Amino acid sequence: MPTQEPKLTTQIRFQDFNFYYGAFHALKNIQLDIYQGLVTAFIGPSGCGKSTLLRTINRMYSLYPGQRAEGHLFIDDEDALANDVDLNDLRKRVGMVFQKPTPFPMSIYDNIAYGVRLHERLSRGEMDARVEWALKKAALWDEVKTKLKQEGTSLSGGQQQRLCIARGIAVRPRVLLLDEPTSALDPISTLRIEELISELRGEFTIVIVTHNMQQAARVSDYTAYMYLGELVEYNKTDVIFVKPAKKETEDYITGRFG
Amino acid sequence: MQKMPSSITSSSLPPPSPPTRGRRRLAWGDMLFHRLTQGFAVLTLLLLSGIIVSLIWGAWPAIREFGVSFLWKAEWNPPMNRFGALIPVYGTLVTSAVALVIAVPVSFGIAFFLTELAPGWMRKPLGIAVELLAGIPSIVYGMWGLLVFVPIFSEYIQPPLAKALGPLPIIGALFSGPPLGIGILAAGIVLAIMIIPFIASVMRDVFEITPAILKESSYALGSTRQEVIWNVVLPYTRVGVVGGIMLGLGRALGETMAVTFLIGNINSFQGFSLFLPGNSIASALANEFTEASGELHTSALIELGLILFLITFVVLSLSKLLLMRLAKSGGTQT
Repeated sequence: MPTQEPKLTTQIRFQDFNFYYGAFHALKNIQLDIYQGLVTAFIGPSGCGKSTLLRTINRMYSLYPGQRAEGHLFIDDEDALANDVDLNDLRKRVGMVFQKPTPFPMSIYDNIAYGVRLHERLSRGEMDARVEWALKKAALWDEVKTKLKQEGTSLSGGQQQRLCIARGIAVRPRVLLLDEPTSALDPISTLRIEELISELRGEFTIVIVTHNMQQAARVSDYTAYMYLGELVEYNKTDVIFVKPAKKETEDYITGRFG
Repeated sequence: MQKMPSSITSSSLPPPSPPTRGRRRLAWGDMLFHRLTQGFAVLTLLLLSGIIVSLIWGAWPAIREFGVSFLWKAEWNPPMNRFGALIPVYGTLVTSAVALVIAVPVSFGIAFFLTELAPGWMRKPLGIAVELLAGIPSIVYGMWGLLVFVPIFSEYIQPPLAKALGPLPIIGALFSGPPLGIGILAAGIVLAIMIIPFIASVMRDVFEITPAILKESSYALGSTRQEVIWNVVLPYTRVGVVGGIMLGLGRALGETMAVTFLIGNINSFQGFSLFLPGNSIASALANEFTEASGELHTSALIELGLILFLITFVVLSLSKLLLMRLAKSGGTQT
């Protein structure tokens, strides 16, 4: 009996998707399905548009005049590019973690509670439970449970990044975007973040942009290789790294280019 | 032992070339520069202490005559040689408070708009316009205030203000009485206009240095612009914001010309209403110094100057203390 492929549900769908920084055509005709509960990695050389693509998923670009998207982006079958989309609600469903740890200038506890307070009214007890839940999910609870009142900035870089992941998880999003989350971290902190990604897999749909191909190979189920604003190849990570269909992908993976 | 280093140097390194004339001149120039800048730095210290000493020296007859009660006596009577600082001190503090109450929110609004909301083409010209406000001489503010602002103020602003706020408990007492135009409120409002550029441009500068990625982190959680500025940008920049407010307050406390034109220069207590005229330390000095009769009058005025100096000093120290506490509890600084 052949092994049964688990049924894949599309959570995010790019269809005929184009993106512009002013006159510059940064993303060209992207077609991409990102599956629920899996880890999807965007790889490619600098300037290929992988971060740009990631930042469209929570409409971060809408903050900046002159940046615009065309085509279709569906999240949970809802058109995320529609004019009447409630961005605050969209961003509640799609969390994000950045290249550098960005703890807010407030206590560890408040860093986590901050996002929750924007969307929900919780009692003290419920909030305490939520903060603990998020910190446990981010594998940070044991390290900070005795110093929740301390400033978030007092933590080490790796801890700060896990704090940012906990902060993103705390509002219970469905999607978690990670924009080169380990680029500012040392190897041991990087390893912990990668372990964390594997633990969060299944519960959240995770999209990660990374410069580090080994990292993509280690943590992701699906990999998209991008080059000059185009999606060159998208497939299971095993396939991309073992037997890519296109020569460009192979050249990049094997280090002959990039 | 003492020879060791030199022997190592001589064996492992080429012998040092003999100092040339040019190099020696450079060292000498260096020395001169060092002494010169040091002299300037010491000079400020000497000036500061010199001013304090001469103020105390000049104020001494009044200090000896009235003692500490000078601070809370409301009487200012040159013919009878009886002097108390309460009225001008009260006027100085209240006009500055009024100015801050108006200027801080307005400046915050300006800075918020300029950094977060204004379209790109608008930022530069608007920012320059705000800074230009700071370049208007204070005497011009005074004349403008007296000749243009006060008539409009007494005719169209004071009556509705008294009508709207007058009936309220406590606050109402501040907005009662005849709409004279000239008075503590008018002086406070013009002071506010004068300090807005300072506070607004400092706030704008510190808002701008907030990392974009930090703001994006807050947006990414679903914050609105207000929530981002209130919960992330302000806490991140609090040190700079407090500094900007203190800069404005320092200017408001010492402002002379504009206040002299507008405050009414009355040396007796009229009541707590902001509509009433009063006096401030700086304008009392400006008005009376040239015609001060007798040693005690002059000395009392000098003591007023000393008090103003002390108030500014206390304000500055308090702000430094506040900033130090913030930095300690915060950890994030600008």
